[in-house]
Amino acid sequence: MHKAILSKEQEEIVLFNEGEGAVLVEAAAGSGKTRILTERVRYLLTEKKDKFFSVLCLTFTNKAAAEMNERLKDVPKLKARAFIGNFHEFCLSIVRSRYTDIGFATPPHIFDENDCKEILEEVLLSNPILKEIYDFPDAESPEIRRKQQREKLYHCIDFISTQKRNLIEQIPAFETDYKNWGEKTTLLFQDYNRRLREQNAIDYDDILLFAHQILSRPAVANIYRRSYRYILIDEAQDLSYAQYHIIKTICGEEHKNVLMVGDPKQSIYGFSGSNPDYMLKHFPHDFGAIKKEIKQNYRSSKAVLSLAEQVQSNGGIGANFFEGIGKIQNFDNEKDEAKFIISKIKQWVKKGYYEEIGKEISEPISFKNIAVLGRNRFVFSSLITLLEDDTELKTHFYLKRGLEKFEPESDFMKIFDLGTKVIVNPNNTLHLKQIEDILRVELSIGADSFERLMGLQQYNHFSIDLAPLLKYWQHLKNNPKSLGWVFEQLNNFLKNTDFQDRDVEAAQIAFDISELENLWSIFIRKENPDGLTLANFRYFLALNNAKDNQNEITIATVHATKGLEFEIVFLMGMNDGVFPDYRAKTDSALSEEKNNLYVAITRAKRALYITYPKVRKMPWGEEKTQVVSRFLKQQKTESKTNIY
Amino acid sequence: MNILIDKIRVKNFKALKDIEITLRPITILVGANNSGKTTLLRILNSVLGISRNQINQDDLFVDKDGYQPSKEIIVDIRIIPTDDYGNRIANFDNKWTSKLHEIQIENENEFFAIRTKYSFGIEDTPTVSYALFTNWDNEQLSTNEFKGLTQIRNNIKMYFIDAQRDILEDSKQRTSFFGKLVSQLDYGEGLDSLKQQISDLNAEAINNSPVLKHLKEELKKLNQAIQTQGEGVSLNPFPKKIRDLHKGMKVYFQDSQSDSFSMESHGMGTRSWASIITAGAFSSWQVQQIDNKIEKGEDTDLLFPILALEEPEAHLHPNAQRALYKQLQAFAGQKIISTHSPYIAGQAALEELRHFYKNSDTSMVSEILFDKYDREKIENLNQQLKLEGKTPDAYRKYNPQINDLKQIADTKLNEDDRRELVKEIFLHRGELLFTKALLLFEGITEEVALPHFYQKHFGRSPFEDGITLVSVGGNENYSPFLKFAKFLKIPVFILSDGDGDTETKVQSQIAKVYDTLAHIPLFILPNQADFEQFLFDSGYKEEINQAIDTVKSKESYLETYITELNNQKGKRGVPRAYDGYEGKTRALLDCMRENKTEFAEEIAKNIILSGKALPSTLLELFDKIAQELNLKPKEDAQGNTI
Repeated sequence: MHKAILSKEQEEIVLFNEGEGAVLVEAAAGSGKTRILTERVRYLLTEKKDKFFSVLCLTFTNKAAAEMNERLKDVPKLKARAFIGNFHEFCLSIVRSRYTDIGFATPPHIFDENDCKEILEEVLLSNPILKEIYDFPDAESPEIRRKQQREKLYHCIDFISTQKRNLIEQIPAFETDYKNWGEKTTLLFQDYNRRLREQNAIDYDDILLFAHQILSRPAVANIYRRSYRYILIDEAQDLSYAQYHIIKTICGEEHKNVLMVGDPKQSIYGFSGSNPDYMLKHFPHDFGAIKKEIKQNYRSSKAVLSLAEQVQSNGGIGANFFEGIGKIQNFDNEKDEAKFIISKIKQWVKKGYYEEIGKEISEPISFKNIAVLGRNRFVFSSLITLLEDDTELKTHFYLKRGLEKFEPESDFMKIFDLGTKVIVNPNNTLHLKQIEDILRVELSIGADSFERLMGLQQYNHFSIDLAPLLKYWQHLKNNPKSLGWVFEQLNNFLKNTDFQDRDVEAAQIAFDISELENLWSIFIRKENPDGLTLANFRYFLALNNAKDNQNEITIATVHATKGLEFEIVFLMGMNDGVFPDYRAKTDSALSEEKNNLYVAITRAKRALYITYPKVRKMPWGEEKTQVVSRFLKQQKTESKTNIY
Repeated sequence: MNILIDKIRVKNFKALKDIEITLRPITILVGANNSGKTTLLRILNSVLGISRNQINQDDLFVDKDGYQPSKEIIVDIRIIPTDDYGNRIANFDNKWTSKLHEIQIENENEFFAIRTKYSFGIEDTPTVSYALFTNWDNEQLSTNEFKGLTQIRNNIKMYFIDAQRDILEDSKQRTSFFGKLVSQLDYGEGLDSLKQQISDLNAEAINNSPVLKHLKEELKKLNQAIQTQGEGVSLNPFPKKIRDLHKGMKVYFQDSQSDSFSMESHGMGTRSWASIITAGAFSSWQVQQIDNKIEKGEDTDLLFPILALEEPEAHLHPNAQRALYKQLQAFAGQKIISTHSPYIAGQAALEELRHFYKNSDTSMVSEILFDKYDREKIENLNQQLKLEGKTPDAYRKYNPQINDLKQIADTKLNEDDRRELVKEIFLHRGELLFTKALLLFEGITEEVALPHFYQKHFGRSPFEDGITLVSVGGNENYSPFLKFAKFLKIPVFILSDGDGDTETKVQSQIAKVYDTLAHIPLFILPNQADFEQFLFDSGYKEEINQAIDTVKSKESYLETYITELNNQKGKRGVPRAYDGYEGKTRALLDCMRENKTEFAEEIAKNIILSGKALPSTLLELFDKIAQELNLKPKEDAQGNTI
């Protein structure tokens, strides 16, 4: 791609002061922020006479970085001369290359939020002093006790996270009352970090914290300062305390060539400690930034709530401004189901707003106000295939990655995934324990987690075939760059295995593999050919979590949409066995499934379409008749044969 | 300069079992044949050479019992930032920062170091892996795989020129530096006119030569035999195609008087040297190309050339060898030179010398250390002490460090030592740098006489055994030579006078340089004698007298001496008392001491001619030397040892 055509005000910013000095660009939505950044990077790399420098361009999402890299791919030696990526990616690269500075013997691995909660719970349960605060012996019922514990856990996680995001210094091991926290809090913090260290792991907040620690050594900051002569920052309104200070530490007193682009109106104030003040106040104060501006340019409806009320009573529907839409519809097959959803989406977007007769308020509708939800991700297969072929919609949807990570649905792939985490990190006991829990086995004690993992050889599981897993793990251990081949083998295994009546499970496995393969194909396009190792792929997965606030249809599992809301929601694949999940057999498990459905329904503000196919095609070609979810049997269903 | 390879570590490559060597902008490798100099150049070349040599199974270290302790060859290379003079500075400049990814820090100084590992399995060729150092001294490596070696090789290039060089061979090969250079010919805008000139030249040459004209006509018959649509056969005394122009290129060299000769007619010395200059020209040409690109703002690799030269003195006259060092110094980049030439080594600064030697089956390297940095540190600590007001606490804090540093500094060479050594190296034409052992003593008489005594004892000159005899010039002047010998791991023997407190002085110098337990063979002349007295006491009175008479060409010269000088004021104003037998002895010694340089040679010759046995102190000394250096005693005409 060649140099983009710029408007006069865009060009002025791109060329401003020949790239030198601190500049703050306040850019309104749709004013071409990415374009300005991209073209400035191009200008610096190609037009500056001296070629011995690099450019650091930090974005908020992987997607924005990928787009910039794509647009700049014709710039010679782009990868060597520019780091274009998100903050965590950049900070992880610092941690991975200078891990010895922070006392690690090998580069640390990343534990996700769930892993960290589990670690924290271990800390709370194993230490008698801490157990007191977590026990809740006086709780009225086990449910309430569980609820209180969960709240405590969230509270603790939140506390630790807040401290780390504020770049807390290392607490000395002998410290018992750090900053008047009290003995317990100090202990909790220390123990939590110690357990992570024991497993050669760090949490998500540690990435920035450790990067900052490494950069605090003047000689190290000096190297980055000299390397990255120009620094550009996207979405600067969302800068956090830690991020801003990392930039400041790199720059020191002398480096002023920083350009920040942001829109205070789009700030997600408070998220992860972000604050538009870093861009608006601190940056001009600390760097003497010159300011440039570029300006070209209530809840669910009655219908939705009444559906929710029937699934789970919540004390009535109350008074609502909008009547709304709430419908259940079935289709001959998944393809028809998907076609219906696509045509409906197009209708809504074309219309552009939601209105009701006699009401003055109308709500604007665009892709980002629309979500397609499902119990599991494999119900989206047909929809995604059709979306990818749809010229209008193919660039306007994304599959939301649950809790910001790859989450396999099937136990088989869950175990495979956990196993790969053990392969790359022999100190990893957490994920080994998770495997033990799923399989209900106890592996022998040992120092090397991988050797312990291979101890699964002596077990036979009633439903999960462990032999191929063991085989491919061993293969990956010996050949870290063979993941692509292993995916092929897994697919072959699936094709050649008779799952009998466990067809839903087989479909899930197939879906999980294809999910992982998709991620792999993104990864191999991004990584150097000789860096295609399992370890690098795991780092990639750990960071492949971009929250995207682009104008896109959200496709997500129910679990991944907690706390979100959309004008229009489609809840698809509502067959029995899918929702409730076939594994939910006990009363408590079924009641949890009911809760999930309630959550899914209440994501919709104006319109909710619940759909399901009457026949489902299995990955190996066989067709299976499907019935509606037992939760919806009392509801009126419309059969749609002709959706057009 | 900007960067420097300042350290190399090699493990398990041939005789280099485990060796770490410090390099400078120019480093001179000296040492006996087979001591590991070229081996070092070869292993470095395997990593950074522009034409890299292969490493195979046979290159693994094998100990004297035929045992292979490891199947891995390791080469560690450290690169540091420097100023224009090759002194280490804290940070890499912007250019190198942009080329060396993942710069590391040690003691707040930047460095970049890579380990190359050749691992052997069953096959003859190794698998090669690379890793970055995070700490050089502790040999701490990053566990991340290092993928940037190509980038390093694109920017840091070693030009290895072995001893088999010859400009004549070079000019025939496209892969030689000469070949590479001349194949890059760019005639620029004058190309067309050059073509025309060559064409004219060809035509004219043929027209002016009846023989060629005839030949051309005859060759036209070819056209009749073979149907051709082109111009057919043509005769070109000069290359017709511009791109072939360089193929016949020859180097001519003209001495001041003679006609210019092509290189075929020159001796190997000139041809060898011309080959080295071509390599230098090749690297400086490339550096120039890069400078031009930078000037134009083009993206480019950098070039840090490392010139590795094996015995540049080959076939060259001593005077030419002396001039060589300065020429090599002027080449761009870093230079590593192995040499057996005292003329080249003698020109180098002492810090630039690395002495290779074999310890059983293993090559070792040693270098001379100077006290400069220790003294600077002491100075800094003294400043700190002053800043903190010289309180008792401050003294307690700094004094132990200062004292330790002083002790270390005393074992190293200082600037006075350097002057002394440089003088001596100059005097002996660099021979000191190649010596197998040093025999030190105080004065000139010994210097002249001892070689004769040595010859008498061993039947060979000390020179043949590689032993250098050095008169240190006074009993307080042993230190520089002791330090020199200590750092270069050269054995030392001392024959010291026994007068006054000489013995204590010599011993304290030894103790200061070596640790106190070190055993340096020290022989003291008995009865508190100096060397003159010693000869007299050893019963060579007649031979001394005879020598004096021969040199002065006068019978009984001593009588004349006594008559002239008796009762006159002598040394320190003490009147000379030459009366009686004892007086006569005093006169003889005085006469000898006052004319050392004149008499020494003759005295020694007379003693040997006399057939008398050598004094026991000398015999003990020679026996010790023979024992330590494993020397054979003298053989008689029948080949029996005496």
